[in-house]
Amino acid sequence: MAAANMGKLSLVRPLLSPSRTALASRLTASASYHKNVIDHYENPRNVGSLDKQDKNVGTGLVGAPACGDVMKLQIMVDDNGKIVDAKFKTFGCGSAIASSSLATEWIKGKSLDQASEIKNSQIAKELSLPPVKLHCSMLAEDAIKAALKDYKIKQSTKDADKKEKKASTS
Amino acid sequence: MAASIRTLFGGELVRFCMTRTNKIPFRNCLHVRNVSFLPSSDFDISRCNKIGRKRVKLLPTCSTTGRYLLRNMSLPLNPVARMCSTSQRCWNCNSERSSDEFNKMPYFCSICKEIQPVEEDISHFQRLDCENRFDLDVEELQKHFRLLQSKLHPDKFSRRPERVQSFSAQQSSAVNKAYRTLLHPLSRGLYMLELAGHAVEEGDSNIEPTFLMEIMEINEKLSELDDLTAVKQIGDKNEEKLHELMKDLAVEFENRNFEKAREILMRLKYYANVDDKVKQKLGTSIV
Repeated sequence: MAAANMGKLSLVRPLLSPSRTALASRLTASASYHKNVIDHYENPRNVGSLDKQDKNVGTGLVGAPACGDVMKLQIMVDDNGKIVDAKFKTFGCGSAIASSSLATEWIKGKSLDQASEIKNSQIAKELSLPPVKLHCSMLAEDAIKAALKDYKIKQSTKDADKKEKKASTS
Repeated sequence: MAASIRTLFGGELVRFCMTRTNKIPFRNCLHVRNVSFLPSSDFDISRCNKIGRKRVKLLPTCSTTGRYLLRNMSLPLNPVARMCSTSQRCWNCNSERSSDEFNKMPYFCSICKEIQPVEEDISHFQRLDCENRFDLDVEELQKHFRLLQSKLHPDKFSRRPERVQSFSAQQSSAVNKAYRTLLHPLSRGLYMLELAGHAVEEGDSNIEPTFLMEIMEINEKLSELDDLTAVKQIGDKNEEKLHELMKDLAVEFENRNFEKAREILMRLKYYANVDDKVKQKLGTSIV
């Protein structure tokens, strides 16, 4: 009985995050989204991917289960500890896309420490996110933190490798 | 009985013993003379006081053991508790509506047959007279829904006084809302978690990175693909996963393992989003 009842997959509908096309029409149709959100949504900056295997690339992957959003944010760091490039890919609502787009824009050219100081409240303020969408900016902050953490872990293992090599050669 | 009492207090009961029970005076209810129980440390007494319209009398019996006593009350056997109240009166004829009558006919007065204002405290399951379980019989749900709407719909009351019309509108929309929530497995599951006090919150971010990676990859592939057969392949695979997860979910709900159910539902939401995108892609490209 159970299987028969659950067989109707068309019954599964997303509850919270509207589909992209539906959102696009709604974005233009209503003024409920701030122009900054619409701007980032329609012209997202820095969409794409960096090489995950690169030692100078940090990757942050975070999700918001309540909406079914997933966000990937990557940073490329040079030898002086400056973020020279940032890319993101977000599958989720307009606010999540705008938040991550803005985040990549902000962290580019910053040092690791400066990037870690970016707060979700700043993102939310810039995009004038309504309270129900605050978690999207939090997701962006989490993504930055995760990318920084991933980079640092990679670097420490790289250092460890170097030391090992040195030790083995000497 | 144990399950029923546990549901009543949000699953925080650790032990209980029933000293005496009466015969069953109400449908779906057990009348309890005396229950003493030892709540867990996070037991919230204020929550118990809020259940239903009738206040639950909980008496701390022993300050050292922290045991509570529950007296003379009717516990719904149907999970998701509603206290059986006897205090309700019909707004029209002012006759008292006992719980028994109320359970038989929650929408109309049994004496004057007049429609009643909407009862806020009952769960969607109770409103549609369905069992609180994840793998509920959808056909039965639909049947109950249609039957109710055939009695409650505002069209039936168009020549009646304004007050009656507004009751009908309220009742009808409450039934609609309940039906919508219970019809879709995803929203049904989320609602069941909510009832059990384990709702998925907006700020939740506790999800496995490997799973996120998988979802990211599926989404990336999907956004790049234009080939309909390839999209369909992804869709079929995704549907399989949805089926699997829903089967697991039914088991976890059955075992009242809400934490696990919550975890599955979070995944289900992601796969449901993918499913939506696949359908959209297939739909728009055909047109």
